Amino acid sequence: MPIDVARYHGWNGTLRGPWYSALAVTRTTLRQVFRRKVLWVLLALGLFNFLLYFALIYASTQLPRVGDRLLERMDFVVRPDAQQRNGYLRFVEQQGLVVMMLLAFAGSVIIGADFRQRGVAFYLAHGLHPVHYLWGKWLAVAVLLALVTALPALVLFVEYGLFTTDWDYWWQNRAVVSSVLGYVLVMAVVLGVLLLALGTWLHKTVPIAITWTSLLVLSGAVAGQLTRSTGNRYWLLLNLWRNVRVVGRWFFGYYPRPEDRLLAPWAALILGGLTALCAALLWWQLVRLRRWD
Amino acid sequence: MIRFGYAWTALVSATFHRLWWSLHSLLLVFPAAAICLFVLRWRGRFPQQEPEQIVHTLSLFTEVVVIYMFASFLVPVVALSFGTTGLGGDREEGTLVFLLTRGIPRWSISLGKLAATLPLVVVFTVAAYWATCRLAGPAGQLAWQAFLPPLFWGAVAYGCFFHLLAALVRYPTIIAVVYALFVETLLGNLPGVIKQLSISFYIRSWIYRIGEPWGVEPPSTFLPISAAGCAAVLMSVAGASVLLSLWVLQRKEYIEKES
Repeated sequence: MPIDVARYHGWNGTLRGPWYSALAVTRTTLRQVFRRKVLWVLLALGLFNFLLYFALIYASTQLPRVGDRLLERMDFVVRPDAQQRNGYLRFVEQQGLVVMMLLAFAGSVIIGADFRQRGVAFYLAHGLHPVHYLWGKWLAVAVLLALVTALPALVLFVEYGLFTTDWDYWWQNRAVVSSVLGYVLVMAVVLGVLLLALGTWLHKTVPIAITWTSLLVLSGAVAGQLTRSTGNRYWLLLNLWRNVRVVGRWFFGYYPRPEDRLLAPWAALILGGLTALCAALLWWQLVRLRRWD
Repeated sequence: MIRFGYAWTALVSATFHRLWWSLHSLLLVFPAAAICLFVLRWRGRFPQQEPEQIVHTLSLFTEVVVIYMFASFLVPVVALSFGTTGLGGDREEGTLVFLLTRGIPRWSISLGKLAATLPLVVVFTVAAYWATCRLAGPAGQLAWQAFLPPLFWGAVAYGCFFHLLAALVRYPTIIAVVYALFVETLLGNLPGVIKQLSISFYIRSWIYRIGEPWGVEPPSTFLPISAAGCAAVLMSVAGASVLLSLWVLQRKEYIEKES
């Protein structure tokens, strides 16, 4: 059979740099993730909050008297006030539980399955450097994160300006866009690299889920109780999830408690150290695998 | 009959060894060790020389460690890690089909898997609780005797329920994580009777009832039920889950899907 009949032909377009190869890795990974029905269930859970705020914002724009009171009751501030309180920050933080569950599921599918079923060799055999492979996988995690946090938050922002027909709202509050993206970037960098490191070492869903929930849920419980019993606020730094929130809030300039501002540099240092450690573990695992291949 | 017995025992033994020597049994040691380290650091803040001090520490220990860390976190996590992998592990690795082609009834495969996983769930929970109570001093000794039944039956109920999930769905671990983290948290924090739909409500309710003489009080919106009622519900959940999981595996068509 001629090779053209099999629809195999060489690439005729312009070849681009190796960093673009990561996009193919991202595309393939996302396709694998979206094939799972569980992901759609988790995305539906993540939409609950969004639909609630969407309806409230709609009500506040169409029935200002009732709607504004409803938004106030839900503590959703559409225009950041003097204390920098911000409804969009509140929304992104409320998505935390869904993010935790989504990533616990995605860890084994995004990267664990590649190691379990020896698919990494397939990727690396295509002239792909491990850095590009990891970059592609990280982008897939970032896209999933953005789907449940940044994207709905920005849709709410657009919705408010659209229904009030107050075009200046977008311009006056343009910082919301960069703040939301900055917050989600912190989440994506820290949680993404941590998840990839766990995926490369633990491979299967159960070990990843146990470690993931222990790191994010149990550390919070232990940190809270130690702070309460000893009165030493530095114990709060044990709470990984809280550290992400404290560093992410820097983009909004909103620190409701004075100790948050005090702990923010330490939290950033801890997250930086953890991310560097996870990146080193990732690199070690990939280099080891390459040597064996 | 004797051949069936041999086959079933071999299945239980193989599953037990496979789960015992697995990565997740090792990983479960870390959260248990974290709780023990927390108790070591925490107990220094509360002297336990006088009986009143012991009672005060016991009340705090119940609230912080038994309810917050064990009933709400460690028991569900241990149960989901073993409960969902008994059957779910075989399904994930594509070896379930080999088990189903053996000459033993399908329901006995489900029962064998449960017989291997449930002791692990219970032994791990009880061992972690025993170590934590030992480290907590005199208050811990009292807590060990008092709160072991709710945690034991909670572990059994969770273990059986997650085993049912493994028989029902393809990705039981994630569904179990969603249930333990999302559904239980959501329902547990809602006022009124709807929280009675969650397993952790009955464990916490039982603990609050036992802890009443030591001043362990539930939040005003919690509305606990009687200890006997909690025991009955937890046992019923376990029994119903076992029966349903046997029935599901007996009746369900096995479909091999691309992983």
